[in-house]
Amino acid sequence: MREDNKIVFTGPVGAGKTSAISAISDIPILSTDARASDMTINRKGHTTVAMDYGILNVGENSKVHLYGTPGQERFDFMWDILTTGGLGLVLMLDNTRPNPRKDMHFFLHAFRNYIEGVPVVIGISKMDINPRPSISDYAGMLEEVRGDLKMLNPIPPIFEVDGRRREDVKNLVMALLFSIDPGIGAAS
Amino acid sequence: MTIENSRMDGTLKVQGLGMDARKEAVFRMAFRMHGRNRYVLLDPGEDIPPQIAIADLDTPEGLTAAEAFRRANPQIPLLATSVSPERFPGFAILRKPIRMESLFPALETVLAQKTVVAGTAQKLENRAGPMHPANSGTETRQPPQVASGIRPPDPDVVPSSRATPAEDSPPPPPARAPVQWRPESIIHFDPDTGLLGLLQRILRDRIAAVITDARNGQILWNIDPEENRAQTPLSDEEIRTICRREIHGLQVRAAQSADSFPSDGSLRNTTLQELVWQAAAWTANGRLSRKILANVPVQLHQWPNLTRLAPLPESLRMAAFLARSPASPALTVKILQVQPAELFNFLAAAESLGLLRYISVPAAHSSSPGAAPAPSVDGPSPADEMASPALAKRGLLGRLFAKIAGL
Repeated sequence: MREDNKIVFTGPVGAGKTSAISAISDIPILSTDARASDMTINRKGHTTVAMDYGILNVGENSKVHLYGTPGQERFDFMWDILTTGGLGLVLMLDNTRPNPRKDMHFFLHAFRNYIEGVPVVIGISKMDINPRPSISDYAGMLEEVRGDLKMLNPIPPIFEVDGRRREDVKNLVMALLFSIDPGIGAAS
Repeated sequence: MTIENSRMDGTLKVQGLGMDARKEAVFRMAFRMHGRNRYVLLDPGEDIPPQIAIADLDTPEGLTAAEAFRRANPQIPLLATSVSPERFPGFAILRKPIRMESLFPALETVLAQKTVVAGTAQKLENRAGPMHPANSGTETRQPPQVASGIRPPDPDVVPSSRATPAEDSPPPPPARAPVQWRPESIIHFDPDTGLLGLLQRILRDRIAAVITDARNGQILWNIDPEENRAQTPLSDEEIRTICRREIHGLQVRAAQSADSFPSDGSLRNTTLQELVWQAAAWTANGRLSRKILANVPVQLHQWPNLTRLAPLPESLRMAAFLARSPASPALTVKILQVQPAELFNFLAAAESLGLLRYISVPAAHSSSPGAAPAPSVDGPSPADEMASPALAKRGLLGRLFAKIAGL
């Protein structure tokens, strides 16, 4: 098994990273949740302070590791431990947060080196609670945010998602795979 | 205790120094992921001698704890971590942010060298390959493993052209005849007419409107673009029929406060985008929009919100391809091997939501619909971009795709 078969889920607190990994993982996710503190406590009682981990078994000898980063920004110095190699980045954004554009900017820049080599997909959660910004608004934000980034896929998928819905997470991950290679899975 | 003895039980005990519970949890998880050696981070207060220690020198207590540990346990190797290695001469240091690719080699290096020579820390620093030498501010982070859309060959990803049978490889899909591109059989349609034309006008004008049956004035849709809402008593089958009939018999007018649906039926609410997308695909019905030429490249400037729109066959694949770089319908069919009708429906739907941009090409390329695919004028050819990833990755990615699709 190689260690670099990974998909990293990132985003701010409460965006649904843990739920998304749970929705598709073959194992109950290993989570290092703890009671939230300071700024986080207003949004969630518990939050991921280290990382979440799930597995997708893709054959007897192959696994894809699913990592969820902590959403608290002050732990960003540890994120590189997750991003060695890997297949792609799933960025989950919470539409009820005060400044989603700032969140998008922060996380894309935090992973700026990573996303030069792997594709990004963006899932927007809680649009049922707060429909604005819209998906088109996010596409517009992205054009501004990505100015100094060298993204492998500068036009990434931006989907409305509910991390608890497997179908949504499936679509997000399949969009990631097609962004790597639109030819996969095609009969030939 | 020697390192060899310490590995007798198959685990290597690691003591964390100067780390809070969160950082310890990160290391604990990293160790759990690491397959070759079983590193185990000791819990606070656990009374087991460690074989190695990791110290975070960036915390106030980290340096003190590291120095105390080294005085008390000179025989036990210690790997320090810091964002500023140059501040801590005398320690074998791993620069933060910590990466899997450097953490484990650094641990191995420290362990191996401590076994051979119980020498000074400086010697360890100088010999520790992946670590950052003290007094050097040069960051030696490795470049991203993948620097472009084309990955280097991956031992776990066997190119399909020379794949060898693997235990966990599913049997290859049965070969299928290549999709035929027959430009002479393309039928065009006008997206500005009928229900689709009315819906796009409402979308563009952003004025609340109703669409009525021209014969009797009955309201069929009540649409509020600002709220992105469409309400109708019609079933999918009825809408599909309206989309496909030659004479549409529809009218549109501004919504009025007195507008209401008959009270004897149930109403369905959708977003306006959902309605437009679906109406476009049904209206296209395998035909190509007259705004799109078969040999002229188009590109998605934004992906459709495919989790909230009616699923169209192969839409994820086509969206990924057309977001990547411009490609003509002819080229898209040839490369992706999708059915032309599926592509035309997708293009009609994407066009209806304003997600396509059209790439102008020299007249020589666009004038002959049946000619060779027009080259992209905006970056490398999709065919070039596709070739290597498609060959190099279909092993793992293909299995992962099958797995996800089957969830």
